[in-house]
Amino acid sequence: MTTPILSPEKLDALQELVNIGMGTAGAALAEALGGFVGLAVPGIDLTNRLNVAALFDVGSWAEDELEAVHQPFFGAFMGESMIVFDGRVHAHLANLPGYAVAPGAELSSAEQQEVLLDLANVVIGACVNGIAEPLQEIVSFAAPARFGSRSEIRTFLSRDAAAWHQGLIVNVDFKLEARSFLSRVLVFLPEHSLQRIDAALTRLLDGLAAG
Amino acid sequence: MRVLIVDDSRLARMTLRKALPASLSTEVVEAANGDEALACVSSSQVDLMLLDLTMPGRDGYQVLETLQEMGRTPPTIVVSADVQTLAVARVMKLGAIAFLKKSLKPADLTEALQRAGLL
Repeated sequence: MTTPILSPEKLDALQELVNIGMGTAGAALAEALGGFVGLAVPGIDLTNRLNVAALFDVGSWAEDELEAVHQPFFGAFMGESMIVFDGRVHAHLANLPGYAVAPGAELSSAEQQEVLLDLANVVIGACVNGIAEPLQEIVSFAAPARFGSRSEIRTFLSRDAAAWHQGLIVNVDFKLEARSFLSRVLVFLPEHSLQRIDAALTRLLDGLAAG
Repeated sequence: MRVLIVDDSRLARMTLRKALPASLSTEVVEAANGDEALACVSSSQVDLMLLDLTMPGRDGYQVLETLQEMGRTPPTIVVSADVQTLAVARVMKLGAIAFLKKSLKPADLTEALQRAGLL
């Protein structure tokens, strides 16, 4: 089977769909976190999954231990998604205003992990649904699971890498008022899913061009 | 009516172009970033601007700020994925006449134009 590579026009369209999804995520995060969330334009690229681990060995990603949550999805198209936060997120998890049980109270370690899963659920859901809904596709999500270390992330990325040939890389930079941390969303799609998305994008673009 | 569509995404520009009411006699020009938008507004008449917020380089907020300083803000409808309450309040303060959420339906744009007295 030939690996489908989306054309530049379709990558642009996919980026816009992700952008719309992340806007929804931003609004949900602003409510949950209790502040304005600054959103940058998501960067989007397709790469081999085997290359992904190296992305976290450079720049600020390499400075501290990472936090990551992984969540499979299935339905019209299937895949796996992962959100990775850089080490600065640890400084914020204990006292996010939208999650505080009382003013000034800090969350316990277990509660912080719940917050992390909640954040991941919101962002991954918005990102994947941002692609699926405009293409009139329906996807469902399995429960999110946390990776506790850089080595667990590496193991996950090397698992079944040949089957998960292409990774859709979405870079999203969240900034919450004075706080800031980097967040990178990764969506892995097997070939048949990419082909389905490619066909759906063709329909979408043809429909607009026909008008 | 001369309509300027400002968005870095071609898909978004195509969507907005198609959403414009057929009853509106329009000449549509497109800008792929904030600098192009400012150049267009500075050099020619723009009767309606449809403006994205999140763009690389000069973003939609900066476009509105610059136009406000120049005193040349055309009737502007912001069309953005960023639907935070604070974002809406900020663009209205900067002179936008309406805020619409992506992906908009043609009826949403028609209603906004009617409310603004442009249709």
